Amino acid sequence: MAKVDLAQFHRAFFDESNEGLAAMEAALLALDAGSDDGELIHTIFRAAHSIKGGAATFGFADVAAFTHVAESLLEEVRSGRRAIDAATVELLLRSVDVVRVMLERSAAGVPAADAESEALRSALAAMVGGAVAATAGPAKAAAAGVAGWDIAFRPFDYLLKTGNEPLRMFRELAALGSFESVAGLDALPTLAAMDAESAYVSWQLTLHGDIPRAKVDAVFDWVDGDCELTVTERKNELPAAPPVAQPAPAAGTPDAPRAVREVASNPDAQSIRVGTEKIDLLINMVGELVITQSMLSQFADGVDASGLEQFRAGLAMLARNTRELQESVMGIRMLPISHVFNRFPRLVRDLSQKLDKKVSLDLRGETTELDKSVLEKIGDPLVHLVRNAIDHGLESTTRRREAGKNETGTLRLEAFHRGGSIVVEVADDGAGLNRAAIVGKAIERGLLTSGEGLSDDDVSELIFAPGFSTAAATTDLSGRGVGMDVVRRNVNDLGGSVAIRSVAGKGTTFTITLPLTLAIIDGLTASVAGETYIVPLVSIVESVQVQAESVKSVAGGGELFRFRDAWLPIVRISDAFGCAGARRGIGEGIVIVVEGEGARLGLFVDELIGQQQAVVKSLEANYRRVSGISGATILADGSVALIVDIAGLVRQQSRRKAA
Amino acid sequence: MNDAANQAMDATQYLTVNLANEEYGVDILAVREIRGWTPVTRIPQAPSYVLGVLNLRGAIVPVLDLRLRFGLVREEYTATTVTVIVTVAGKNFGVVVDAVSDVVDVDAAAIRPVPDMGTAVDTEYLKGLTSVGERMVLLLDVDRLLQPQDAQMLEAALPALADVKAVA
Repeated sequence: MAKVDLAQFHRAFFDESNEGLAAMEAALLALDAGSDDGELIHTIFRAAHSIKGGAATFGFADVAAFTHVAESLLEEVRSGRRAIDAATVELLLRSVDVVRVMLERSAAGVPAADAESEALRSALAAMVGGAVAATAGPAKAAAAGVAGWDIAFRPFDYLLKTGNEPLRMFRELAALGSFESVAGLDALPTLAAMDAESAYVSWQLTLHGDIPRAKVDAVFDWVDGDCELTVTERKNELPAAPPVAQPAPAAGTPDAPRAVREVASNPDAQSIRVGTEKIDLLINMVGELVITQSMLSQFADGVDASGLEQFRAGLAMLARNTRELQESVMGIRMLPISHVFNRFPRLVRDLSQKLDKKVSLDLRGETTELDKSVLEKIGDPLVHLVRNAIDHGLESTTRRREAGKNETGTLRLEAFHRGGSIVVEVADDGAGLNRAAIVGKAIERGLLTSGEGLSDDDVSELIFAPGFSTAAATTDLSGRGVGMDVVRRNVNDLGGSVAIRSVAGKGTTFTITLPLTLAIIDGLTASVAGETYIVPLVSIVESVQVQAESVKSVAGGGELFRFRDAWLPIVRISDAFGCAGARRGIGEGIVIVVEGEGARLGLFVDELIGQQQAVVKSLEANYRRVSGISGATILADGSVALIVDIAGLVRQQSRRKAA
Repeated sequence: MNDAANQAMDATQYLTVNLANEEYGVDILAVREIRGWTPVTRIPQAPSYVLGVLNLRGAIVPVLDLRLRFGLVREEYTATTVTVIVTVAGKNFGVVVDAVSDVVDVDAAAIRPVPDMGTAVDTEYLKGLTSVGERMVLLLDVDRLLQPQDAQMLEAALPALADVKAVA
C-alpha cells in the first residue's frame, strides 16, 4: 500500500477541529444560559469525538489524550449518568480554550501539552473518575482482572471507502497489549468478481492483557455501524461479566460515528474550502477581463460607422457579463460576519463574570456578508470595542439599579448594509461617555488646556487620541491606554471609519463603516501634470471650481477655501506627491472636496478625467507602503495609476496643522 | 570526468548586461523576464533611482534605473534599452539597463573580490568580478539593489509619526 503523506490533510483537520470547537463553545454557552435542548450535548460530544479521532489519526497524541478525557466526561453526561452543572460547563469551556491552543501549537509543530493543559486534564479526569466510582462501580469491578478480549471483526464491503484502514486499527490494538489476528477469507470472491475497493476479509482478533473495555471500543469508534463487531471478554479462570453486557456499550454509542458523518455533510455548512491563492488568481483574471473590456469600449467610442451597431451591442453584453462574473467571483470571498460575531457570546460571558456585571448580548445581522480580508481584520477592533463597552460603558449592577435601569445591561452588536458599505454597530445602554472625566484626563495628559467650548463631538474625538484612557485603575481588560486609537487606525487601514455617538445616561454607540470589499473600488480619475490619480468615490463629497479670490492664504503656507459654511484646507496633489509641472492657479484646476476620518479637505487637481471601477492592486506586494497612496490599479491602456489614500492625506494635514 | 562534473556543479549562469560601457552579471536564476523599455508610472516619496511602477500582467512592479542607482548619468532610452525583471525574496522588480548581451557560465572559483576602486560603481552592490575571455564582468548582488537603508528607516519612522495625531 502506498504511503500517504498525512501532512496534506493536516490543514483540513485543523480547520475542521476549529469549527468543531466553535460548535462546542456555542452549544456550551447555550447550556450555560439554561437551555435544556438534548441535542446540544450530542453536538458537543460529536465535536469532541471528531477532534479526538482526527488527532489520533494524524499523530497529535497530546490533543487526542486531552480530548479523550473530555469526551469521557461528555459521555457520562450524554448517557445521563451525570447532570450538567455550571462547574462542568466552566470546565468544558476551559477545555475548549485549551484544545484550541493545543491545536495551534500542533500546527506550529511544537509539543501541544503544557502545564495548563495537564492541570485541566487532571481536573477533568478527577471529575470523570468520581462519577464512575459513584454510578459505574460494578462495571469498573468487572473490568479489573480482565485477561484479554476476543474480537470478531467483519467489515461491511464498503468500509474501506469510508477512509478507514483496518491495519491502522490493528496497530492501535497491538499498542494496547499482545495481539494476534487470524484473517477469515470465507467471503473472498474469485479474482474476476473482486472489486479492489471492497473489503472481503474478516478477522478474529485476540488481545491479551488487562485492558479496559473502553480502550478497545475506542479503536473501533470510527467503524461503528460499518462492520459487524463482537467483543467478548477472554475467559481467564472464571467467566466474569455476563455476555449480555458486552453489546451494550456498542449499542450505547450508535450515533457517534453517524453523527460524525452528519457533521461532514451538514447542510448548514454549504461551503467549500478554497485556497485563497486560487481565489486571488481568479480575481486577478477577472480584473484583466475588466481591463480588456474597457479597452474595447474605448475603441468603440473612437470609431463611428453604422456597421458597428452589433459590435456595440456585443460590447454591452460583454460589459454586463463581466460585471456579473466579477460579482459572483467576489462573492466567493464573502463570508457572513457571524464568523467574527461567534466569539462574542463567550467573551461577554467571561467578562461579565469577571466584572460582576449582568450583560445580555444582542447579536443582529449575523448573516451580513463581508469580504474575507476585511473580516479577518475587523475581529480585533470589535473585541476592543466590546471590552470597552462592558468595562467602561455599562455600569455596575448597583449603579444601574440606582439609575432606575434594568439591572441587566444590553450590549448590541449589529451588522447591516447601508449604501455600498457595511455598517457594524457596537451599542451599550450604559452611562454614556463621561464628559467631565474625558476632559479632565485630556488636560492631565496635556492634550488640552481647558474643556471650554468643546462640542460633544470634540469630546468624543478625544478618546481616539493615542495613550488616552479614563479608567481609574488599569484592569487587565482595558484601560491600558492602547485601544481606541488602535481601533481607529485598524479600521482606517481597511478603508473604513469609526464614529461615536453617546447620550449621557442612555448609552454609547460605536459605528464602524466598512467598504464591502477591498478588491474593487469605484473611483474618480483625475490628472495632475500628466499623471493619473484615482480618488475613491466613497470619500468624495463634491467637486468644485474655486475662484482664486475666494482662497485665503494663512501663515505657514497653508491655503483655505470657503465651502458652504466652512473653511477647508486645500491639499495640492502636485505638492503632496511631488508632481512637476502641475497647474498652479486655483482657478485653472478643480478642487475635489473629500472626507476622511471625520474631516474634510479640498484636493486640488488639474482636471477630472472620468469615473471608473478600479481593481485594487497592492504596491506593497513588490515594493513598500507609500504614504498618501492606498494602492494602484491598471488603466485601460495597461499603464498604472495610483489610488489616493484620503484618510492618510487627512492625517498628514492634521499633523501639519499641529506642527 | 569527475572534475568536469564538479566544475559544472560550481558554475553559475549569469545574464550579462551593459551599463555605461561596462558589463555586469546578474544571477540568471533571479531573472524572471526581459522586456523592452516602456514608460512607468512615477511614485511619490521614492528614491531618485526608483523610476516608478509598471504593470507586469496585473502585478504592480517597481522599476529602478541601474545607472541612477550607481550614481551615473542617465542617458536617453534607446531601442536597446531593456528592463530586466528580477525576483528577489519573492518580490519582483525591474532593473533598467542599457542592453543585455550574453549568458555566461561563471565558476565559483573564478570569482574575485572587487577592489575598492577602479569602477564607477559603489562596490556595495557587487558580489565580485570575474573574467570571461578578455572581458571583465562585474557580478551584481541583486538582493541589495532595492533595499536602501533610507527607505527602511523611513518606513520605521512612519507609524511613529501617525501616532502623533494632534487634538485641535
